[in-house]
Amino acid sequence: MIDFSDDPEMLAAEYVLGVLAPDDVAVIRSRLADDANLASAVAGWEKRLARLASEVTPIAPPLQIWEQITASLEADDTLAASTPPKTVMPDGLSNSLAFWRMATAASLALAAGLAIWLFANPNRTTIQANVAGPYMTALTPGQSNGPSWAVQAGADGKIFVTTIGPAAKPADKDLQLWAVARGDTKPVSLGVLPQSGTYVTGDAGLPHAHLLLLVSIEPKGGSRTGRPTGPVLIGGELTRGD
Amino acid sequence: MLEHQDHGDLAFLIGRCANGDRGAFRRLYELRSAHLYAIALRIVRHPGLAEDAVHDAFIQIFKNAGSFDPSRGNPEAWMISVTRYRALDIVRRQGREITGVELPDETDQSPDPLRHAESRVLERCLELLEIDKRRMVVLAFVDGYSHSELSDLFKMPLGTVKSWIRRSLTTIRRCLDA
Repeated sequence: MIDFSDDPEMLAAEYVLGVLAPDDVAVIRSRLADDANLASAVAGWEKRLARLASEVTPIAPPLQIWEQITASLEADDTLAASTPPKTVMPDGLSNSLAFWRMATAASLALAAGLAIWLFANPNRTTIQANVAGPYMTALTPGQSNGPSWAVQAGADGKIFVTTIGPAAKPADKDLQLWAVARGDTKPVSLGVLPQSGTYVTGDAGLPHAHLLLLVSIEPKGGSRTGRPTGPVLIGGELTRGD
Repeated sequence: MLEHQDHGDLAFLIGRCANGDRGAFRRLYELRSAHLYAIALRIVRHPGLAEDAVHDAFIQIFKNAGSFDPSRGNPEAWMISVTRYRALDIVRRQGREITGVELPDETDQSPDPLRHAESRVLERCLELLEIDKRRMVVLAFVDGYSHSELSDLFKMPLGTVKSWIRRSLTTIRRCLDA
């Protein structure tokens, strides 16, 4: 972990050069908005080092990139026009009534969602065969389509999250997975979810019984604050599947 | 490329983007996408991932155009930075195989009579570094190598790589700011 008593000028240089580990990058980014000295050091290094990139010979990009950019901006416009302004959750999110109300409502939909998923996916055993733990859940909105994930906890503390129905999200956002242990109020990040496939978390050292899992919409790369900042898409509690 | 464009033009277009001008955004894309795509591709080494990086970078450039302050940074450097950070995020998230990759001697050495004066100054400053230190800086910036990847590649302890990089950056700053 980086040490901010360290020379901020050097940290800025290492950040711009791109050599820092992802955790350190996240720490630097979280401080940029409030730390004018750091922001100005970063801008200075961006200016100095950008000249290195002028040596890279341009390559015509595939035409579809522009089409995708236009489509993403239009999707954002539609989203902005058709939905009320999104609730941006403050850092004190865990105390917010809306947060828990949403999480509870989502977990009520889980039992039915899990049953449907297990019934409709005879291949589930291949997922389960990879893990030894008995705890599982399904994160679904309780509708037949829409974003949904099957979740299974392994005996080694890791959690396997398999995308069943991919979530529609703005191109500049990521979906972040959070866990809240029973009796705790502070969500712990389990990382940013991929758009498809199975995501395996590290061992967060959390008890799996009644572990509440949540997915929130966050800035690209995940929340800068270490807490959920965007709306919670879905949530559910791990229960014993055997 | 940088040398063919006036920073003022780019700054003007970014200013128009801040007002939601999609035509200006299109022009900005036409001017800069080939260079930014090449920069992303050098880092992620996969056309599909480079597309993702450039897509995300331009969305961010359009949305954050209002926060770009021409008095503090130059528009070229800002756009390169946005793209590089996206490419680096992708590469750090996905991981990549770096064994067996040949070490490029330097960055492209294609002679370019129009090469920007600023780049020539940086080149002179890089020449103050020993060859391996210069390679490390270029591999980090242009090819997206992290401290730990450089440590693997150069078969040197992580701590040594970190201190070499810091010393090199200090030398570069002293030379450029002189």
